[in-house]
Amino acid sequence: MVLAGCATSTRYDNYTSRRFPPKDELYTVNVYPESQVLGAANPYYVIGKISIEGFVSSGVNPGSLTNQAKEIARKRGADAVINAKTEVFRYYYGDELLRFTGELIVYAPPASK
Amino acid sequence: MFLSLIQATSSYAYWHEHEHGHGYIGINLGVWPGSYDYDYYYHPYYPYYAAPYYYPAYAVTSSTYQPVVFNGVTYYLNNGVYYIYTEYGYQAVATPVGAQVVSPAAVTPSPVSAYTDDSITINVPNDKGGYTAVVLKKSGNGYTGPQGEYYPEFPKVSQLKMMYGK
Repeated sequence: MVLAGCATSTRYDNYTSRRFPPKDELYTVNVYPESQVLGAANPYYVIGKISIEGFVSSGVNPGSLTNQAKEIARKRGADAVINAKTEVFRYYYGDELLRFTGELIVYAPPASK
Repeated sequence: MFLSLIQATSSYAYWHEHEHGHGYIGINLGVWPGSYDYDYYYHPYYPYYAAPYYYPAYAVTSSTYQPVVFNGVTYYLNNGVYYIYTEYGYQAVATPVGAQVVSPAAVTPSPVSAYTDDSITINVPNDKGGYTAVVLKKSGNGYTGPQGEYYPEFPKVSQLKMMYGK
């Protein structure tokens, strides 16, 4: 018997060896799509790139991937996610793979140790 | 390409239980900048296996930041934003003076001409994607081409392309 759970795979690419204090679970992490470019007027650092993917057949949807990205961002101490997008890959057997990608940022000055 | 990337760098793989009770396989690749962490989470009852089909996409991650140098300073361009690399990661900065985002098509030289008193040079598009310089000399009321052909009027680029665009 196969139980379809929340099966996702994640990958995180560090752009820096620095670590940042995790954010509180109630901290609101904003997610900005690729089309919404943040200006340099509000300085920030891109600390890494995140990729999360999972199959629709296992209950994954764009919203759940985004929420998972926010959760990981908080754990990584990020303030927001930029260049966010969700791609859909269709498979011959009818399933769809959703892949969320985005980059984590912290607003300057960085609050690191 | 990705396989060669793995071989060229130090890498290791590990397996252990996730903090929430899910297992995952982790692979760490020592590729600059920073390290890559793969976490393949799976539900214990769901037969999900990481397939290699998307590996190549990951190999180009760092290439999303294209290095450009202005006044001796290396900037990284990503999604129209300039960054400098710091110990905290990529720091967004204002667009450097004199820098502008150009598309490959924009940097392709367009046909230009150099005019002297008795000759004019036309850059004619050729079949190789470049341009061929064709020098026309004034001859009476018309022009003479490199092969001695005479044009009673200033020739069109399409005319020159037929002869010199190969």
